[in-house]
Amino acid sequence: MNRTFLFPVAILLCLLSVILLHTTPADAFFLNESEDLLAETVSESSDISLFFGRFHPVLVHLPIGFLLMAFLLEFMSLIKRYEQLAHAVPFVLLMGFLSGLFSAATGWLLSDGGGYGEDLLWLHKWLGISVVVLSLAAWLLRITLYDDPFYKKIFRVTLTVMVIVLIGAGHYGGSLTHGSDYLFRYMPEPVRSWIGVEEEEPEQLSLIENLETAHVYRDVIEPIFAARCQSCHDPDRTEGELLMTSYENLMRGGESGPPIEPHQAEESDLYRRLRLPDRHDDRMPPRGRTQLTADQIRLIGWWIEQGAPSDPLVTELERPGEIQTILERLTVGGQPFFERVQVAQADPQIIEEAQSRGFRISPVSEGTAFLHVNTLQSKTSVTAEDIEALLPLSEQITWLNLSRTSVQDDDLELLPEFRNLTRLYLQHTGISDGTLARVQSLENLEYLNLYATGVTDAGLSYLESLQNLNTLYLWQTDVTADGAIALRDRISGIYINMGVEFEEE
Amino acid sequence: MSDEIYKCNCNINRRHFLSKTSMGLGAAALASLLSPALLFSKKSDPSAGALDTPHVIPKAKRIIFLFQSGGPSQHDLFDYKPKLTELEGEDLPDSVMGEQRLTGMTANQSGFPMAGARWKFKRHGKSGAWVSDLLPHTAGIVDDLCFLKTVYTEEINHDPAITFFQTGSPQPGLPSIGSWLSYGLGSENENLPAFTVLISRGTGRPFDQPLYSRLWGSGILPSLHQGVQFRAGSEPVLNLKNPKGMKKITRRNMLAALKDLNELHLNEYGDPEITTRISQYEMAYRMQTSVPETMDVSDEPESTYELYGEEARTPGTYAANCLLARRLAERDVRFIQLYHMGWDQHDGIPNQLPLQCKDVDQASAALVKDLKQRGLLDDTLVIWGGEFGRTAYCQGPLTKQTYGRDHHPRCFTMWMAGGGIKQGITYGETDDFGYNVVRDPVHIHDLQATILHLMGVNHERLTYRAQGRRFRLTDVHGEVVHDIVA
Repeated sequence: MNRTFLFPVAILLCLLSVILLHTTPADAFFLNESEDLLAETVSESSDISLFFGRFHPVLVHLPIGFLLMAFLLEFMSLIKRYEQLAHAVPFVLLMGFLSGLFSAATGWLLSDGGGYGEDLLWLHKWLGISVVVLSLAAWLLRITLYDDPFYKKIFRVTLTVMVIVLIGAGHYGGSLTHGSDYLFRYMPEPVRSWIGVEEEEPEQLSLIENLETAHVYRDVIEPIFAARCQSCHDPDRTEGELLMTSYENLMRGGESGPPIEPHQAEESDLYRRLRLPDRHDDRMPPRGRTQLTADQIRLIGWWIEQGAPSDPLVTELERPGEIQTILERLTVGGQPFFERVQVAQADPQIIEEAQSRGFRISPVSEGTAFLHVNTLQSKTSVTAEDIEALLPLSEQITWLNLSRTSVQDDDLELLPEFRNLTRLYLQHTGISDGTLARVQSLENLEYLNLYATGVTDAGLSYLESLQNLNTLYLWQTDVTADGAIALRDRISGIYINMGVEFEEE
Repeated sequence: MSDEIYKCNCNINRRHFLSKTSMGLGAAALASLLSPALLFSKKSDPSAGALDTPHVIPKAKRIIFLFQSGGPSQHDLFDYKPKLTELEGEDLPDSVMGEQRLTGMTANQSGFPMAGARWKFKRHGKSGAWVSDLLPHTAGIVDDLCFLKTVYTEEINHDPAITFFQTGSPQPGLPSIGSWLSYGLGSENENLPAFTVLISRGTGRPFDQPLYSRLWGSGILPSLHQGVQFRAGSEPVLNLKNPKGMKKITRRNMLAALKDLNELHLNEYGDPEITTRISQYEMAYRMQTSVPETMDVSDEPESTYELYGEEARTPGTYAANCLLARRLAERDVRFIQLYHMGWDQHDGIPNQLPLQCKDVDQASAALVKDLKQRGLLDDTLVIWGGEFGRTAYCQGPLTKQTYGRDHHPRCFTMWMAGGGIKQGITYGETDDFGYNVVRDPVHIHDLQATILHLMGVNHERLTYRAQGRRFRLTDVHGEVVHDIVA
């Protein structure tokens, strides 16, 4: 068997490796802890190599086109009608190889400039080089041993492998420039789950176990950066040459200097960018990314005003009332109900059935399965059967409005089943203390409207266990001011309204 | 003959059928893939909103907008500037006025003498908000209110400014805020329109700028969403009553027959506008009962009038409208728009302004208190303010007896209460002359974005396609003012 073809292969491979290795700083291969070295690499690479390097994105599409074309021609030529296409394959392959060689070389120069994530870059670099090598191998096989049926098969396998590697190299190259989630970020939902790409859930912030022992940077501020900023400001991408993965790197800053001026939130670039209008070019996070909430921005502003410290405990810093409230919401159990509790979607069939009984049922908002139940204006009578019709939805119903209906104590026997109720409207109904005995077990209840009902001081004592209750309306009931005050002493932070005339008290 | 044409129309050959249906099927498949909710959602009920769910958890379920038409003088009511009194009579420095565009009414004035408020200002409540002596009742509820000192607009004359406030554009033709919310969120009351309008005249300046019904019009949206004006007197909604001689049963039968005809038509053409029409006739029929029931205040106890003031007994006054607004809110009407006219004090502030304030002060405060004791303030957003403010300098002669102020768009004061707004705060700050914003400006579009946000709507996502593009309330602007959201 004629193996002379191996000579040129070996020579070319050696040549290629020598060229490539020669233009690389030796330690770049072993660069994993890139964070600190990054800045140096940036300054080291010369302008001229960057000048050529920047042609990489221009050149790189040529080999992609040529090599895909070669693949296409080869396999189309299997069809009798297109047989003659096979003659074009060697030329196209050669063009593919040559343009690939230039692309790889310019790519290498570009990567010297730094600013790319090392892991992704490594993958892209070596997949790219593999494409060049494979295209060369394929070309050589094609011009030398194509007539041998065995090598013909080898050639086609090589060609196929080359195309697969080419797609990989192209994909990681795209990820380097556009970000790794670029391709699938806007993929519509059914396709997304169908091909198994996970929906981009806004990353949940981990909760604080105990506010007393929490560190302001590590437990409050850093988690926000981790969830919202680090996907771009990490060693992989280092957007704006700013790394937000450690306190020291953050304070050192990037292209536009240190982002934080301790004690001066308004002067801090980071805080300024967070507060810019959505469509402003400098706004962070950029449009299309999950934005920080108003509370998170307030926390960061507060932290900077406090001097942007890294060490102290939260409790060692001055906390205005508003900040304290926000901090408490970050603790385990201190979160708002809709963030703390998740339920399954209700069965539309059951919703429809309940609606046919005169209930108006609507979702509370996007992204939650909780339901808001109201009665139609025409539905003035609510019976025990009506409540029973709602029972299959007891998990999901969180706001229930039965006001101005005929509902009585006896009709509400099933009320304790509706454990996720946070707002209950019973004003202008015939209920009395009997219902409050049932309300007692609704421990998530935050809002209760009992105005113009028959409740009394005795019934109010049932509510003492409802520690989440924060708003209670008792105008036009038999509850006395003393009864209300007694309850207020039992539930911290509750607001009880007894009508305008009691306001002064 | 028409039979022949019909047959011809039916004569679709195989190729035609396949080419049509394959495209159609493909499009349907793609649509269902991209947005299954859209394709399979039921939109047969026209009272349901265009949004399947609110975008965020709504803090407010309904809005009462107490629009003070004409432009109340913030200098004499809320924005306390002792500097103006100190320098009274001196010209407003050029450095303060800058390049401000003035109206034709004062642009040619020989000077711009500063004019201080003629009334005393005090701080009130725990929050220490400044309110002038003209508004004693409002001063009593400041701890429930959020004052916005730095609202600004681009419009300098009444009609464009009100239109801008209501529709997000100074040119007429776009939907009012109430229409947008009716369209987006639907109605919570099947017997009343989702958007109702109540109008009263000010006693301070009874023959002021007129209002046009297009301010509560639905513009490009289906007419179903336009505001319905409730008038004082025997016929609150025009053309709702049965004509003389028509019995209720006759009307019912007529509507039933009309519905049958419309349904025939619907089956033939499948035009959703016909569904709207059918439901509107039914709604009008139910309103024949629900409107008189809502407007009939005979079930209100005496204490109501102690709260709202004796004026609330006179239909058509601002106080009576505030009472009606509460009754509509109790009935879950989505958007209740009041207009009180007469705030355009170009002159005669000392005579006119106290009258205007007397019209609205007690009733506005009463409304907030009344909503509060009924537990409605938690999910009802109350907004008080006009289309712009008034100048720090005097229009016309500045004498001991009288002075006036021109229109001022650069900053003015509004207040909001309830429905997810922070209580007892003052947001924004103007300069020592109350002429320019120093800190935290709130543009009209920002305010609109915030209002929608409180109702659970992302202002960028509530859009309607017309004239070849999508429209929204805030055009391409608007930022939610998160600092005032509780």
